[in-house]
Amino acid sequence: MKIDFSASAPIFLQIRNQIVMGIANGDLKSGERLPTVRALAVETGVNMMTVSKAYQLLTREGYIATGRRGGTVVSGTPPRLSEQTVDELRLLISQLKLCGLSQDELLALCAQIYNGEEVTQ
Amino acid sequence: MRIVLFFFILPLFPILYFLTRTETKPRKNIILGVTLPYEARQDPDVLSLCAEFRKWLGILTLLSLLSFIACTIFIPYDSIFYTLLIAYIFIETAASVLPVAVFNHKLRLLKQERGWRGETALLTDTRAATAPKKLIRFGCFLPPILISLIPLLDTVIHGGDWQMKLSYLLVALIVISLAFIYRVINRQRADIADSNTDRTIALTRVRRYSWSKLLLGVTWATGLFSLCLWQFLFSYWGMLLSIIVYSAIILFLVIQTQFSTLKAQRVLTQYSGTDLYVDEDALWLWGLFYNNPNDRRFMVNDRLGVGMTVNFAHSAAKWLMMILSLCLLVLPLSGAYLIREEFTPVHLEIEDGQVVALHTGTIYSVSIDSIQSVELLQTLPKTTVKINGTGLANLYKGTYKFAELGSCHTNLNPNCPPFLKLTVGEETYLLGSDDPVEVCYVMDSLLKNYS
Repeated sequence: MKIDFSASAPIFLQIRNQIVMGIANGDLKSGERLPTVRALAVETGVNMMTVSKAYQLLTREGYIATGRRGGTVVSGTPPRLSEQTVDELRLLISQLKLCGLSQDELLALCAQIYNGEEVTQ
Repeated sequence: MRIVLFFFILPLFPILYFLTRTETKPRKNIILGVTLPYEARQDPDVLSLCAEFRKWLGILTLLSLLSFIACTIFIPYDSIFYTLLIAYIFIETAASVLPVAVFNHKLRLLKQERGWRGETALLTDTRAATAPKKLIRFGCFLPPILISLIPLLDTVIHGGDWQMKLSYLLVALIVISLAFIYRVINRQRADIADSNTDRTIALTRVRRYSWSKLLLGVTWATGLFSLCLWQFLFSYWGMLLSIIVYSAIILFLVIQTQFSTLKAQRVLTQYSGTDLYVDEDALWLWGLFYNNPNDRRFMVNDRLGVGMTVNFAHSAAKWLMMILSLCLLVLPLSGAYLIREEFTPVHLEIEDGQVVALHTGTIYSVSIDSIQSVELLQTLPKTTVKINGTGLANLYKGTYKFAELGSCHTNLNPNCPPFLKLTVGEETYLLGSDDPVEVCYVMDSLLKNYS
């Protein structure tokens, strides 16, 4: 998991995004235990509230599940596609269209990212 | 005492030299405080810089060692020797830090030139963070804690000077605090060099194991040392031997732990740096001083070895540095104070019905009418313990405890008998002068007064 303190994105969002990408890449498997809020706060050097916020967001979105005994684990059930995600995708595609990408180029780029390949521009 | 100090400080020169020299060996992809990729380890320019660093480190260490030996042999006065010893704290620190800072800078420029760059974003390994921590139980620290409390309990039960109670209490508090420091240390983040989780877990375990071993060893040594303090209070050689043995044990534990940790880190990361690797150079000034405003922690692990350092971006660190800097600035002043103490003669006289002991001002002033008994001693008791005050080869000033006499207010040159013992109520004064005639004159005056 990478956190860039010089980036404009809030830290809790970076943590959330990194965990989502880790699950998608297969680095974090279904049912795998995640560090506790305190442990991750120690590892990253950020406030516990920031980590807690990230975990709460991930739980709401269905990526992780928190149990009293089992701690925080990667959720076994895939989250449903939300309206917000579709809107974000719409915005991204609009931006890529404005960069001059054709539909085929856009799909090829998406395939590369989907398959975890290195992006060639 | 000078010989003891000499043989105690002498090994520090080669130890510091070899410790600093190892900065040229790649550990966690770091050479001379600069993070480099795997291919840079055999780069001719990098190897050349490392060789030049070792050469300059050797020259500086040799120069400071030779000057230290010369001072010890040729400086006749203790106060000047101790003052120069203080200067050596600065000199030796500079001798080891300066070459690292200079060559760290040169290597960084080379790194920039070659475009070598690792992962500068903060890397966190979630698997390593969830790996079970094998910590030793707090109960392992209990026996040395209890041992360190024995002298304090004995002094409280059987009565003793408040200074002794305070000394034993301080030692016991040191032992107790070591046990709590262990808890704090194990809350540090994992040791990440690259994206390999197994390597991260192994590196983290090495550091935590080293700390466990070191702290437990130091706790036991300090607990046993408190027993030695208690038993050898009136034995000069016993006390000296205890201090030497205790210091040697601590030094051995620290050095052995540091070297073994560095070796383990080198072995574990010998093939690291070929893929993604952590590059935190921007957060480490000269590779030595950690400065990260995004890190909330005050104390963090050193990059290499088993030590810890402060985060200079933390406000508490700035205060700490200010206080330490003030303490360091005061050190040379203490040398000036010692010189004044050593070169000022001790005097004893009678003035306005008072026996006045003089040394850099009036030290004691005893009314003749309050003196209950007077005795002239030709020799001092052999077993002497300084409770507080100044103790030099030619000066005992302050409160000293003598085996036969008990606690005495003292102002004398131990090399210049005779000495005047005055009893005033429950207090005893042991006074002298650099001029024996003064002591005899005061004694005669007091005897005339009684007759």
